[in-house]
Amino acid sequence: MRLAANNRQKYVSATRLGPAQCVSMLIDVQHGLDIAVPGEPEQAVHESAPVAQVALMGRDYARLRPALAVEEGQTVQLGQTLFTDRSRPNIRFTSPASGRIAAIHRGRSRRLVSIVIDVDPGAAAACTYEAEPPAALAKLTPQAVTERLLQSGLWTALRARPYDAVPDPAIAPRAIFVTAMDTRPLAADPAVVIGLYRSEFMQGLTVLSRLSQRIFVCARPAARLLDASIAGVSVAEFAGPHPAGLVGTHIEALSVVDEVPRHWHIGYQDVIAIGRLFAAGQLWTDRIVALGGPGALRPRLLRTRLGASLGDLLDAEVRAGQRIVTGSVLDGRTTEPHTHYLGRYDTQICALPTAGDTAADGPISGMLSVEAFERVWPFALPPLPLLRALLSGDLDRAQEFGCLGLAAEDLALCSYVCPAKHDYGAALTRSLEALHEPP
Amino acid sequence: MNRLEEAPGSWRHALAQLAARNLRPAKYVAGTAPLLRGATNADTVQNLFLAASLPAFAIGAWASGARVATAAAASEGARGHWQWGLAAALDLTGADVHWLGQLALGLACIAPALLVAAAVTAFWELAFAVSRQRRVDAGWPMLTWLFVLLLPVTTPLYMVALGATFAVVIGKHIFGGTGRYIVSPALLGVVFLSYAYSSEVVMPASAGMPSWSLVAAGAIEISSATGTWLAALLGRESGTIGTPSALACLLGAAYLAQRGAISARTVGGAVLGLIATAALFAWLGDTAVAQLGWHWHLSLGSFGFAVAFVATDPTTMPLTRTGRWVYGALIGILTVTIRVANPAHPEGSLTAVLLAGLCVPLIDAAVMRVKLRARRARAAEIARG
Repeated sequence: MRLAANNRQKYVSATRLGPAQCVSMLIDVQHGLDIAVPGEPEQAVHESAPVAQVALMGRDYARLRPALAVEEGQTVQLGQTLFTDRSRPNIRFTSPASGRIAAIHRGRSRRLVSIVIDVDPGAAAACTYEAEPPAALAKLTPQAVTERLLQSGLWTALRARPYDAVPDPAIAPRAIFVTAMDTRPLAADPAVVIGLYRSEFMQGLTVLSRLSQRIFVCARPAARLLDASIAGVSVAEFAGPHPAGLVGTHIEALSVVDEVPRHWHIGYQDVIAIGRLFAAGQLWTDRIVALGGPGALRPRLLRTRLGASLGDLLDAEVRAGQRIVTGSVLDGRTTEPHTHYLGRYDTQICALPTAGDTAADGPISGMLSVEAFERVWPFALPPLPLLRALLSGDLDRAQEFGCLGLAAEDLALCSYVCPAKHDYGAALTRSLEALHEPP
Repeated sequence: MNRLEEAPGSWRHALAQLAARNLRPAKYVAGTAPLLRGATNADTVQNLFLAASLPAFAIGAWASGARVATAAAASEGARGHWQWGLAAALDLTGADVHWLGQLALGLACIAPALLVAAAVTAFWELAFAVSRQRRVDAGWPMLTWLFVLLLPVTTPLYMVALGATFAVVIGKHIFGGTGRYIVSPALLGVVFLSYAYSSEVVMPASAGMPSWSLVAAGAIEISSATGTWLAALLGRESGTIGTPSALACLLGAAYLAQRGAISARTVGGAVLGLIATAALFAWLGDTAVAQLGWHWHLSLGSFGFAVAFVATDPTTMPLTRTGRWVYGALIGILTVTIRVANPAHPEGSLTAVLLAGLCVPLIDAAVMRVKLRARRARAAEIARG
């Protein structure tokens, strides 16, 4: 990754000159890999089959210890608290639909797997928040913004590096990174979606700029997502192959992550939701996802809802006997009956053929130092020392070599090219868990 | 419109596609992400080494056959190499045998060594797999192949078996197998033999073909021998089986680098280190070997083979790109230094790879130290705002 000298200069001057500067910088991500996967989605939004169930899944939230506020069979309203974070009770996870709690699935050691809600199609769209006039958005106090985000549950759209958990409202962010590009295989083009909701997107950015004076909208070059400048909001353009669109790449290009989780990030569709929440007073539960992959009958963008049941959504969309993945083929997750729902932060669904016998392709015990790693690695520090530290559980080295700014998705390409067949994402997750809670 | 917007069709885009094509077709896998994995695995990477060294092997087999045919005609048979007898039996003796005959003779002399080495390594691999209840470790064909190619064609078969055993057991499995050993096991097996049986594991020199020992001893006039030098570069050289053609070895290295299996940095660093050191000695030294031009150092002995296929073993390579440059340069520097310091030593480059391999962790640590300093400076700059 090369931040051209003049761009670095711009960044430095932007931070030194203070918040009123709106700059645009271009970062050329030189190393990466765009994998061609069959079933590229058509970049036009189509309506989808209505879903009868939606769910919140525990696995979407890193480091979650929930305190449940509902029980099975109970009727819930859109935006009603389903559970809170046990250690930070002001962080609320709210219902993405009005209806009835159909089931609360628990896993090993009573870990929360999913809360499934039967959607009541007749429920009137609740409008429980005050609509702010557009001019007032830029004058909101940070406390008011935080309060309403926590109240509505939209706070959980934010995540913070390191650890990628929902941020603590008590820790001020150093910067907020808005991911408005997607370079993963078979992804939706964010410019298409933002084009449909441009005013909400701008309003959402305005609201976020009340939380931090350093908002980076990370986008493709010349995507022109902003139609006016907003104080404190800069556009960072990232050119090049995947992982140019991953937030880990964005953060590493513009900052350095330390032990405190204060590098926040948020997806572009959640920025739209925040804009709608403040400007219209409504909780926006739509989600536009890209359906793709070799098993998709008509790969295209679908408008569905947060946490949609994939069974309902994909009934007539995929061939029989496919593996359904929420997220991309590089960093998504396969689903099981209790987790057959759209992931909280996912904007794509893949239908993949079932895997053949891969027992012969398991990892070997050591590492192989081939140039393929450097060819897909966008960061300045070399990949292999970090990957070796992660595999061997050497936490000090892993931290020194830059694991704090990363999440499993950032290492997906390394696992893809690795001839020794290691799973570096899982190793990173283990290391981050151990770093967060020293034994 | 931004220049980078035009990515498809640009050089960079095309290069990225080329790099992508270097990966074999991907496979969908079960379990955790990524659910798509490149099909390149430890076996395919190591088998690439076999493919890349085939031209070097073919030229080496031909050169070995030519050497055996000449030796058999010069009534060296009394020294008792069975290969001399084979040449006589096949009626392929003398310096004027057709090149196809020389190639066939070379292959016939090499085949038993390959079979013995393959049987021995396969036995040990199976023994370790069974006793440790694991899959058979990757890469034994590569080990066998490189080991045999680093031996002279006259090596007795029991020594081949002994060396292969040393390579697999001590060089590889003591450390935990592919991905864990610290120097190339094939190299270790050859070095073991060359120290334990230093008189047998040397190709007897002959005035008919140039070799490192003849040049080092001043037996070949090098100042006017551009033709000889070119012939040695192409492969008309008497040495170990795989090493006569430095050109074929370096072309094999280029292929491996293009496929992403090895680092061109190591090969480039080694060649640059060799040139620089040879020039330095030519300037400072006054012995015949010190005065030898870098082009002779490049084309003679095992340098090309060792740099292309042995030093670049993916298990033993440095973990950083800068480290790969340094490691390669160290090999080039040590090769010339050892050759100049001890011309009687049959091959400096293998010892150089061995020594440089032991420095790899040190090189990586030093490189990371420098890179981390730059990162810390950047973190401090950003923290200041």
